[in-house]
Amino acid sequence: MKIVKRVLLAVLLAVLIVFPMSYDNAYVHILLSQTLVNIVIVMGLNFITGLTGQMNLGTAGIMALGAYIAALTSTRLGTSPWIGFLLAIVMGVAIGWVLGYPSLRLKGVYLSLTTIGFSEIVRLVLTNWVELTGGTMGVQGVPHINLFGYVLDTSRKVYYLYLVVVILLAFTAWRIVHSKWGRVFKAIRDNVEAVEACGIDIAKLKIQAFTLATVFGCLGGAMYAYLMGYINPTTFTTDLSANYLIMMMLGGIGSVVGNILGATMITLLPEMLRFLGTNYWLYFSIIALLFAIFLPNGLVSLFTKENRLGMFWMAKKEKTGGRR
Amino acid sequence: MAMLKVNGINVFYGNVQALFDVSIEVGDNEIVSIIGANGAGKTTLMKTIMGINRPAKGDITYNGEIISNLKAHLVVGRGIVYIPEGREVFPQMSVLENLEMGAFCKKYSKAELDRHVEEVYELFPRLKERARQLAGTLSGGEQQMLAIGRGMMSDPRLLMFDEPSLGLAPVIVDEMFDAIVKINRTRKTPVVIVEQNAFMAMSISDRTYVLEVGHIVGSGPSQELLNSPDIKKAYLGG
Repeated sequence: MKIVKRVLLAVLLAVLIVFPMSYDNAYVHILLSQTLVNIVIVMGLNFITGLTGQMNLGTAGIMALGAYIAALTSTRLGTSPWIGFLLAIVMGVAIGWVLGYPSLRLKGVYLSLTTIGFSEIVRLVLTNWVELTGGTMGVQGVPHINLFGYVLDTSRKVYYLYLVVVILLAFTAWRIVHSKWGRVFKAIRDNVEAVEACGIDIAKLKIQAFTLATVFGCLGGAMYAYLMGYINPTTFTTDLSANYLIMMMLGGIGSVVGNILGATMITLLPEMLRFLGTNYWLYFSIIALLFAIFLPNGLVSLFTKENRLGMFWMAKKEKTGGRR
Repeated sequence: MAMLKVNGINVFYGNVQALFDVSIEVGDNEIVSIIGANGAGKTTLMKTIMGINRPAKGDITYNGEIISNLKAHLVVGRGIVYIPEGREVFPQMSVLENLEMGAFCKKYSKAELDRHVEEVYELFPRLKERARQLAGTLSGGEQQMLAIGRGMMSDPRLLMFDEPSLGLAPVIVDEMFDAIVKINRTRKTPVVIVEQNAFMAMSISDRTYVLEVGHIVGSGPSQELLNSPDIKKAYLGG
């Protein structure tokens, strides 16, 4: 089984490397790179919402701050994009603490409320602080990433860099999910009273999970800025936050593989459906709904032993049996 | 010398007062039971000691240190372990993982961790057989054993059990109380038991407090209370 898995992984990697080379279309390259960016952000969201069960609706604001700090330092101060990435990580830590500390000490829906509020404030400030951010005109001419003198001036080149970054981050995320740390995150979601009885500081762990989410989110934002070369505040709406939640839920809550599958599907599927014309978003929504109903544990459950498609029918049978 | 002292605490849930001037003491090495009907405030008292509720008046000291202003995880850090009612285990984790969660706040080496796990298995051999099984698939009695075992993982200096007999078959209840007495005897750990099953709790404890709608209405050596007509009438069915 292990060998099969490794072979499959190697094949997948080969496809990911070869496909963009054989397919010379900038649109496809941008789309694939965008998928990689989304994977990073969803993996981050997974820590706080998927594992720890705290609803974060502010992904767009987090991503926006990461994108803007990277884009602004690179354009205004002319510093290297690598500094931009570093600052995005610092920004992530800062948001994690400043926003997480007050909101995660509260129970219930308060994190959803504070994160929505945060996200909207960020968007409004970015829109209206024209002298700094360029307002709705956005930030133009974000420089290309320079890799030891080799300038990544096409989205295909960026794609390969991001592929490496995503593999590293996915490995990190996977290690965290399966560590003692990740287990406590899940325990907080499943049974907060028992965690308390174990002598664990729940508020501290929630802040840690949130900080992981904000660091991944800001990093994703910076990656987005350097990929697109142009950002503006209209991208970072609450719709975007909801989109990331959908990616996480359809992919498989709590699972890194699920995050990757979900981000890939939700990024690529609408584009594949474009041939349906003006209604493509309707068809996409229907497909997403069907997945939510028939694969409640996400796309990842297609690949695990307990296939939820079968479970769904079984559960339905049991229910009707009980009623009789 | 009493190691745990609750000094005249009042506890409120919003505007509703749940405890009125409650004082109890737990000495070294003894088993103390707190009995009372539903809604008497037994669980509230436990949660206040654990730092989950805050007393509006009065304080709680542990070995002379005031702990009623500490957060729950710091209270556990002092060695007070609370085993909540209703078998609060982590259903999606294996038995072994559940036990390891109990030691999360301790910086054990691998060898120390294994030793603690072995101690729990010695107390409840059934858990060893089920070490790799998901906790959600265990029977009610086994889940209660697991909850107790998880509490034992952090080397408690004082153990508090909330309704350990809740919803268990009588034969399992006996087993559970035997285990509690065994923990008390072998580890010299003082134990507080909160129970509706007054007879069981009083028959294994040294002293008993009787809690009624938030007031302590009686206390004394368990043997004496067991024979008192009032207690017999109210809690032991005549």
